[in-house]
Amino acid sequence: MLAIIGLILGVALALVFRPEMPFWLQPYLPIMIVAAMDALVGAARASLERTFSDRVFGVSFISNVAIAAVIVWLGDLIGVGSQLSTAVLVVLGIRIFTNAAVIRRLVLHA
Amino acid sequence: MGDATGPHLPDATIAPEPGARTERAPDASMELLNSIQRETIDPEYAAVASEGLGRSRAPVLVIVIGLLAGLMFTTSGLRAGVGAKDAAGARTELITQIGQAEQRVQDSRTRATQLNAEIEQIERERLGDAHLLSEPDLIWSGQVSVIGPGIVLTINDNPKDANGTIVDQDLRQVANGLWLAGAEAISINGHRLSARTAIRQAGAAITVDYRSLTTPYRIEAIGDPGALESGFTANSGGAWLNYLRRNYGVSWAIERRKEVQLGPDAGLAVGHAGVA
Repeated sequence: MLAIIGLILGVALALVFRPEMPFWLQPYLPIMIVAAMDALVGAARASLERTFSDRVFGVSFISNVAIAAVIVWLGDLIGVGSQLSTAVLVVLGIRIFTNAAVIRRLVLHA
Repeated sequence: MGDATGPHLPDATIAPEPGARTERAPDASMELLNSIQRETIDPEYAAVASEGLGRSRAPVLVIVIGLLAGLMFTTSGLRAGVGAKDAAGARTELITQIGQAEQRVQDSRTRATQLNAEIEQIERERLGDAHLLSEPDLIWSGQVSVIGPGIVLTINDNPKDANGTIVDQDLRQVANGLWLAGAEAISINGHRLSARTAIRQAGAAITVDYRSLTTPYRIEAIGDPGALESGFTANSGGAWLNYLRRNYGVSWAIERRKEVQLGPDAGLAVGHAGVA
């Protein structure tokens, strides 16, 4: 619940202030967003399963986002940035889909 | 097991290690994919929950994380919207940079020409009559700026037909035709041809002396205007252009001039030297 309030606040703040992303971070923003989505969906599932912990949520969110960005950055350094970001997207995509399916089962019992 | 010919086999088998799986999963080699699907959620959630920790101890953290995520999503969404505008901005920026780089090249070439003139002057002062090159040699080699009667030959692509685009080969044929007709000095779009000037194709553009040209191509040649025009029209160069005009709609024209001035080839430099 608190996370959703924060999310809405964040969207509102971004719409009002239009912050500029630092230029060096821009190539990694899409992958960071997918990592953030994974952490959010995971947290939603955990809270529905009543195992939610804000400490785990915070750590997993920040580390997921940071690791995703670092992996792609490293990939860029050795010339396989796009392939590595595909790998990260596939893994995170599978996780998001599976978690979404579990959430669907928990909420709709279907 | 009582086979008399073979070695005695024990009835016991090796006991599995405690904890080890007795049967190998048929998809063991796919463990990576399986683990991705099995551990879709951070296992710490379950671990923390089973230890009875967890529950809301830091609501601010959760709000801040949500806020961060919202900021990221929206910023990225807004950026995607202005992407097209950015592309246009980047384009103008790149064009400016190209212009600046070309200006720098131009400046460097001007400076090279000036320095060459200075060297020339010093050589004249120090060596006097024993100057290395005679005036005709200087003119032929393309080291100095020259002025004299000549012709201007203009060639244009056929704008309606991609096949009617002039390529490097065409300009080489024209240059050779002009030399053959008795030209003493030639320049293409202001770039003087010397023995070391390359006329080449680079992508969609023709480069002369490694600088790219755009249409129309303006080829200036110094020599007797009448002889140049008639000679060129009659020789392989003129034939080549006539062929292009007939088959591909390329347009070209020769104009006689009383005075044509051509700059030196700025790309000339000493590549090899020795004591005479």
